[in-house]
Amino acid sequence: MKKKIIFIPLTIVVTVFLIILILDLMGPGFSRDEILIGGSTTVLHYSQMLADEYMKQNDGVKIICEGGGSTPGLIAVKNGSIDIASTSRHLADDEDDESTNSYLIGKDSVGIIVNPSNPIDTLTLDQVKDIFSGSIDNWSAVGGTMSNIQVISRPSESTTLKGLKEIVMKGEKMAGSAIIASSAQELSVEVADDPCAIGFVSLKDISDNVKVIKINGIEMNRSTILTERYPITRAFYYVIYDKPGLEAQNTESNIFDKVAGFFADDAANSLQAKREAIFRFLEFVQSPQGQKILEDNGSVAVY
Amino acid sequence: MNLKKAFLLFIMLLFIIVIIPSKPLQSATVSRSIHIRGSDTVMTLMQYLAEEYMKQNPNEIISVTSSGTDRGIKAIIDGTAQIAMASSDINSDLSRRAEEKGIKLVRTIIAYDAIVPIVNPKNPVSNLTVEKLREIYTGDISNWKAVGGNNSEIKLTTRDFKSGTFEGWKLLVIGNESIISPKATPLDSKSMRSVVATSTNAVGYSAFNYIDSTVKPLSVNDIAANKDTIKSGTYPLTRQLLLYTREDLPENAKRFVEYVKNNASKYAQASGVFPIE
Repeated sequence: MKKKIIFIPLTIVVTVFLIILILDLMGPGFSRDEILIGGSTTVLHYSQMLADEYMKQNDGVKIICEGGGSTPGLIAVKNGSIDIASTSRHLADDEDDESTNSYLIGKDSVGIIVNPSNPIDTLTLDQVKDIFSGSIDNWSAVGGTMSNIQVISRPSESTTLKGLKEIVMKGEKMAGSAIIASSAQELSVEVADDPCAIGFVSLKDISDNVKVIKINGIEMNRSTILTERYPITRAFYYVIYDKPGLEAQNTESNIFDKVAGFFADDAANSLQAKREAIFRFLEFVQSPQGQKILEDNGSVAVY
Repeated sequence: MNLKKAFLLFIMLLFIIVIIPSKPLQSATVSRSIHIRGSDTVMTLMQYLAEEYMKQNPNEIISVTSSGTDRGIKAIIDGTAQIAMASSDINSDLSRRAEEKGIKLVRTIIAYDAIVPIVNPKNPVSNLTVEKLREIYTGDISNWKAVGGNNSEIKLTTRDFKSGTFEGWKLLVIGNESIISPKATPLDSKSMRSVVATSTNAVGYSAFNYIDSTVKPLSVNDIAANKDTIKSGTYPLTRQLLLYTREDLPENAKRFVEYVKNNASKYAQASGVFPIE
């Protein structure tokens, strides 16, 4: 009789623990986590690549990427309507506060290329702007031969063109006489074939058949992009608004927390799960795999 | 008997398994790389040092970004960067935040710099005392003729308020008793140079290494800013350029900071700053 009385509650306890153990092993949540990334339209391109790969590897996560601009993105992440804001600039002072953390995720840059026969070695940023806008239309104006400059450009959706516009053009339009090449490869071929041509490509698209111009005497390479000494460079960030109070809960998560969490307030639980999902994605972005995706798409690895 | 023992053993094992905490969520920062953020005045020197260090250590990734002194220091407190470049001491808000988080910060001087008032090359004024500069920047003087110049209104420009250069100007010129005139337009260093270069009545101030031939530097208290007057401290508007790091800095970043301390003087000249002697 005694043995039986002990046996039944013991079975109940064991069963409960078994259930919770199974739930724990199933992962942070048995519903699909959804992460919303919004902000800079140029980082959007990178976010989509990262999200696609991450979702392939993680069934339980859905990542939606949007544009909208860096500033609207920052406002949205702070009011909770998105989970990660992507920016192609650093935070302004009134945007940075106790709960706001900005993580550098990559840097991209634009290389200026000319025909290998072109005697020009270096240009200033202003000269690059004036050439691409058409204000300077002869190579002699920048110390080259007496010949018309032929600008080769890309279609408006090109991220490299967007980078050039954002970093160099300062609102000025591209020269009307520009030839539009549909790809980086095609642009390089145009430049390689025409002694008077000038174009632009990202680091990964630099080919042997063209000459890369220095800017203010500074060569474009991985190091000068990392330090931003090469002037046509830009850093990207993911900005997270880490609501106060959750930080303390999140450093360790053992089964008792999960048990408590399971029975606790649903909203706090899902906030916690969301926060974990965001940080897991961020870790992926910072991992060698994530950084390689960025590199393959025109950035340099920053981790 | 056997079944019961097995059952009890099973329960014990279960208890052991569930009490072991699951893997704690890692902080999102990793120490395979070194991220440096902060003052653009200190940045040029750090760029040279980082590039040389990466040449010698090809597996290191060192990123340098300008963000202003305060953003840089906040980033190391947040853990989103490892080294902050500062052209002024940490402010009280950030100091308090570090304290609240139990973070101890290490301050390292790596060079000296000077802040120099700049005017348009056509402006006949060549020298101002610190007091006159203060009066101009608080709005007490609003016409160049009050300081021996033309009869024209002074167009006042300043650096953006959280930049280290503004902090330095506030410390060295405006002082704690006065407030900068609301008429002063806050600009970044490039825009300020551009405005001063093109407006005959504009005045601004710049870190020594950002002055170029488009603007005219003024001497202060009859002392011109140059290598000798800055190092000797006779030029009045001199400041220390610093790195801030956390005491729990990862090994690879510690090694780089040591490298910076030992090699900053090599690149000081090229960066327009002055080495520590």
